[in-house]
Amino acid sequence: MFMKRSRRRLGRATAFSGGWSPPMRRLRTQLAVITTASTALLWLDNLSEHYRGGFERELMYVPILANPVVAAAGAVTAVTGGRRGGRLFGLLSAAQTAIAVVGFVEHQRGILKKPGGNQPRQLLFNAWYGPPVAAPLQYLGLGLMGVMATVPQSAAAPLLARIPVDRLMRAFTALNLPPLWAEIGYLHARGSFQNRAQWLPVVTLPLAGAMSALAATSDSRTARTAAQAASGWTALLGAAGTGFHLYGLHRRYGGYRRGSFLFNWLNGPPAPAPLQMIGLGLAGLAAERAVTRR
Amino acid sequence: MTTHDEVDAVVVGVGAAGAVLVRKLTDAGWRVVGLDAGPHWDPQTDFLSDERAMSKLFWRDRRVTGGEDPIELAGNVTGKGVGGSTVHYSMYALRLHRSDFQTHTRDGVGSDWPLSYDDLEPYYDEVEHELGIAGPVDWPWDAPRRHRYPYRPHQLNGVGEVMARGCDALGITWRPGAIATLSAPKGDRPPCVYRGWCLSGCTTNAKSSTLVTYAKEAVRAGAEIRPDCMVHRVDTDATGRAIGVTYVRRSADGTVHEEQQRARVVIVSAYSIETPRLLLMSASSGHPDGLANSSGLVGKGLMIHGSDVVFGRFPEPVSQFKAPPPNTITQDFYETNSAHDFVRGYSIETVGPLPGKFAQLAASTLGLWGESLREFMYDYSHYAGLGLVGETQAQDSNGVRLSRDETDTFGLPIPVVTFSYAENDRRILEAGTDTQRRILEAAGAQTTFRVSDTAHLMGACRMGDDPATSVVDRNCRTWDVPGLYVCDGSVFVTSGASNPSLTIQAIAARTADQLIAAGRRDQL
Repeated sequence: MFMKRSRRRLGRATAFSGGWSPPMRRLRTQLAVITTASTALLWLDNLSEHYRGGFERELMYVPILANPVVAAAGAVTAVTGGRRGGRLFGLLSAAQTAIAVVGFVEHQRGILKKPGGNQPRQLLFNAWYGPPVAAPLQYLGLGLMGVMATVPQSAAAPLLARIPVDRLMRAFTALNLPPLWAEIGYLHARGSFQNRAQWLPVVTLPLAGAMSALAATSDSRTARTAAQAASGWTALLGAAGTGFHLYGLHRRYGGYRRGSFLFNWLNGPPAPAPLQMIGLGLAGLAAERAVTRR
Repeated sequence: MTTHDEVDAVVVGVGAAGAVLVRKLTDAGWRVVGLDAGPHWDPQTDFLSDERAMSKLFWRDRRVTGGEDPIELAGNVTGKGVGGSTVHYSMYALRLHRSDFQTHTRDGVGSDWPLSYDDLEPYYDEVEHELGIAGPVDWPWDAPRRHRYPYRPHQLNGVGEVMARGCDALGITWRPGAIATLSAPKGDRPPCVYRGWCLSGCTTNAKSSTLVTYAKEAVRAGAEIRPDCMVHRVDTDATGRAIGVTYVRRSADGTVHEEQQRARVVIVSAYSIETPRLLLMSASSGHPDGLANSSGLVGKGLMIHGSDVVFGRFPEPVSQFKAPPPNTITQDFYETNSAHDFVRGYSIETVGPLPGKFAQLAASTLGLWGESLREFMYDYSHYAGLGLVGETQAQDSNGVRLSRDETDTFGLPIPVVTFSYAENDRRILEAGTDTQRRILEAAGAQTTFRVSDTAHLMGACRMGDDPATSVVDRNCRTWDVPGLYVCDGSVFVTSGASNPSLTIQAIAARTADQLIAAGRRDQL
């Protein structure tokens, strides 16, 4: 609906929409929608984890407070099709990548600080029960997506002239998957793969990543199909994963009962976590679609 | 007297070993009856978050404890009810070391087992898998394991972090303990929620007691488990073959009557006090000194673990009550070391007594009462305790015999348990508690105090290759009585410095396989 409206107002070019072709404008709006939704959902995950960690350090409040501001700017950008808030969203997204890097470093320090941190053999154990190794990198990915959704045409043109946007997105997907894969892998290992489905993302995400990476080097029809398959599968995994995690909450003692739910939510499989894969997959599919229409 | 039709096997005591036997034999198509002296609990309705009330899990029948170092006989060593003491044990699920099976050859103490570690290894694997033991990824002590623990370790709790910190400072290797509570779902059992009431009975079924694992599965597979049945005689026929057991059964209305259960095979799995007691009570004209007692060793060679605890007070709260009390372990001092003034060794493990137990320990050790005890207990959360599992050597003077003049509510002679430490045992205790204190101090403890305690029972019907020096053979078959088996902790030859439950269960799993194989050959 708002797509139609934005097309009607093509005449009023802004810094956000100026110079972009209609499919690219649509793609940017879609990216803004996906980024905003993913950021908001990541907030829920982030809040649960940092609350569980008792906000032991003040730094842990930073992403919790910053995230809603970014998400709000993103929401404005998404709803207005980029006519409002685009520049702010872009700047906040850039800032968010900085928060992500600091978070990433702090998480590793938190793991190394635990008893036995100087013994390589204890690292995995400490990572299992320390701050999640790669979680802050999700903010990095979303920050970059926010930038992509808002960058002015003049700034993006030189890059896009050399690498078309669909291939750029394939590379972005390929870069996002390894940390996601590592995180899922070591946390599912903590659950000792008690449900065979826990192997699914661990086995298939590297394939999706490799397919995206290879597809990023080519404009061929096969490359496009491979990239679509990889992104589609990633989104599917996200949906299935959310389902499994919700089922996993039910299997814990007390399950969804009122007295037990919060505890299980905090300590059980993180229900909002797999949703990030849906966002990544949809972004990839949107990029492919934008180029098809060109 | 009611006499039940003959079944393939009757198992006396459905605890750590009995439940494994009942289930495995039932799975093999045997008709099996398990008899237990206590109730068949339902954890969700029968267990409470109440330390005092939950002492109903212990075997509290009248017993006499004696010797120079009388042992504590209630909570630390025995359980009453289906699941036995696994319902309230502290869940460390450890294997014996290879050296434990050959202490005579290697260290010149004790006797060698008729079994080797290699004989038990597949059964350790099997039982760990069935129970869903959560343990560290690598086990740095003894020779390497063939398989990883089926579940990943639990996180460190407050006491675990204290121990890890102290060990790191002293260069002692530590690992999260291998324990029998789930760290991820298994079947219909949920992962542990770290309530911390493990020693008072787990209400969530995360704890892998045999009550919610083997016994439950056995009933599902068609076994009959008959609770509230106190077996007081193993019956034999004219040829000397065991043909069943006689027991008193307490009905729901409180009435008591005697029943008999006939079986092709009788397996006694009542642990190191009640097993020898039952064999001694089954004396007859053909067996004047008790059944299976031609060696005179029934009731002799009882071992325990010296399990003194050292508590340290820390400036910051440690919250020792949170998460499973068994949490972190070191076995750096397990093996004989020429630098020590003793042979064999000890393990150090975290403990986490609930307030009632902690107050009891503090009151009895520090002589606190009333106002002073209350003052002391305000600091409950600031204490971290490390427990010892110190090996003891089997001595024939330690053991179980029947009282000559005292009887229990059923009119049966009560057991008299005698225990005294040997010199080597005492040296292990001293060295162990010294290490415990050093770890706590290295972690920042301001003050420490030591509590004397004992735990676990092993031996009193030991296995061996020679009928003159053992009660059962390597397959737990009694040398003297065809059709009679003893399978529980009482067959241990040495105590090791590991909590015994997993080894008891591995021996039971192996014995079940031996029985099934013997049954096929018709050689029961």
